[in-house]
Amino acid sequence: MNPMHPLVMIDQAKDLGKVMREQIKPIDRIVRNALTPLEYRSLHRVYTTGDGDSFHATMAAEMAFEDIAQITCEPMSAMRFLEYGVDYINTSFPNDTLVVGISASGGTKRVAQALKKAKQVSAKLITMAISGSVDGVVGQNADRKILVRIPDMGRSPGVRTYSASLIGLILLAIRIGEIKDRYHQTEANAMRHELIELADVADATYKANLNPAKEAAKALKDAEFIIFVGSGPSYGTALFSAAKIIESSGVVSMGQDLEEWAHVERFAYPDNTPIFIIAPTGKGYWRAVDLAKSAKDLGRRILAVVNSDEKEITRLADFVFPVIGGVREEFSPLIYQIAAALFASYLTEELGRNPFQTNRPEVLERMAAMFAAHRTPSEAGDNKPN
Amino acid sequence: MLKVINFQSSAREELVNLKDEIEAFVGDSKIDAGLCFVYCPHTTGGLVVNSYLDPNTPKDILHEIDRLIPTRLDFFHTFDTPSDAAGHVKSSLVGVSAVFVIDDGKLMLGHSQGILFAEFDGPRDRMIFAKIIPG
Repeated sequence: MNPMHPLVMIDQAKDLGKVMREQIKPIDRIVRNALTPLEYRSLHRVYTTGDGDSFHATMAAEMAFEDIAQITCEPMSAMRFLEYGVDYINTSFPNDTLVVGISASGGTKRVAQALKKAKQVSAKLITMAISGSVDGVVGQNADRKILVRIPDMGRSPGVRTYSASLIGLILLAIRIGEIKDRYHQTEANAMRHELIELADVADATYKANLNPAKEAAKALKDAEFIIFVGSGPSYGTALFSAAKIIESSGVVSMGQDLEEWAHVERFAYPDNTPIFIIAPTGKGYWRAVDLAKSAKDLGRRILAVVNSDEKEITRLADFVFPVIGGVREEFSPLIYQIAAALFASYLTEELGRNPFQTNRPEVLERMAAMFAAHRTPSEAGDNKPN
Repeated sequence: MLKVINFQSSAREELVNLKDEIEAFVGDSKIDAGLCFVYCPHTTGGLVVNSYLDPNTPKDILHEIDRLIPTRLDFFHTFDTPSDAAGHVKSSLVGVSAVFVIDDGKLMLGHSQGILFAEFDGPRDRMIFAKIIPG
């Protein structure tokens, strides 16, 4: 097993358009029949849970459930759901609550435990796995399974797998709204088509973000800490983006809610800490503009992930990662993640490092064992029993 | 001679009267005698020839069809929606075509008869074909 190439995520980001073009329809076919119409119609709330990228996907997809399907959605990390969430679910009525566990590998133990416990708490809950491999422990503990398998491109911090999970979640939200008569099936199909058409936006955004990512990585390689901020679905994107920086380059990074940054991290040194402001057109955009001004006044180095038409944050930014094409806010996490994947790759190269510290032999050895067990690098060291 | 009538239905279920468009098509054709074949190329819509003068008549028709085939959640066709599945059955029962006599350059319709497109799962973009066969 060789160290991962520093730029491995660039190939992943480049392939996102293809993933959308080729995988949305097959995944949608599974989603449509994952529950019966009666079960879909009975739902009143959805809990979504996962670890790492999968947790970030739950955060990023929350708005799709609440705004499109108009159904209450509670995203939680698997540990929180397992020990501090599932015990308090209202289980008065059968089939009105869906618990969705997300695991790219299908082997995430805490997610499997969460689904298992949900069923122990009440048989009235419906459990579902969204996974790239539904034969693993997560799928084994779920009533229903949505396979979001994408062609393997080798080891990398998850970018395509994250997108596949997001696609599964968004298509599930569209289906729930469709069967619950929130909109007609022609509108549901139009949304599905809109998702597929984002493939072109992904391709164009990838191309437009390559140079900014390269230039920004050169300029910011001295940074000891990088923060990503966003609101609503972009908070999920911020969490995911920060994870890619850490996994790939090893640089300390965090994702934060826009407003929370104003209350906490704005007071941190150094003044020139790079801040990625993820601000798609949508509900939280106005606040992103305010905070971009504050960040500029503080001396922060601003990296804007915005639509190419955007003016307010763009004029304040040191680097701009333009999204080429319109994207509704609920779908924005599929596209606004591209900037971080590219930036993280070039930063890793600038720092002479390898993703997941795979330049270190002991890490490589542990990782080989993990892959043999069909688990992801982020699950390394988790040896607790199911 | 073919006429394509494009329109959008505006409700989940409704009857849309296309009599005026089809009569105008027949008039413009200058065909004195023959048949006008009207065809609906949809699987959740159909054609009904009936009264449209009292708006409660279409309501009764739709209500009774809905009573016969209610939108249930246990249809076998689950790829789309329950109302889509019910729409297929309703469309099959009412049919998708009608033939009218043309004489003296006019459609031979009863005075209260309309040519009604039956929407069973709208609103959707719809089309109807009308073809005149002289003779």
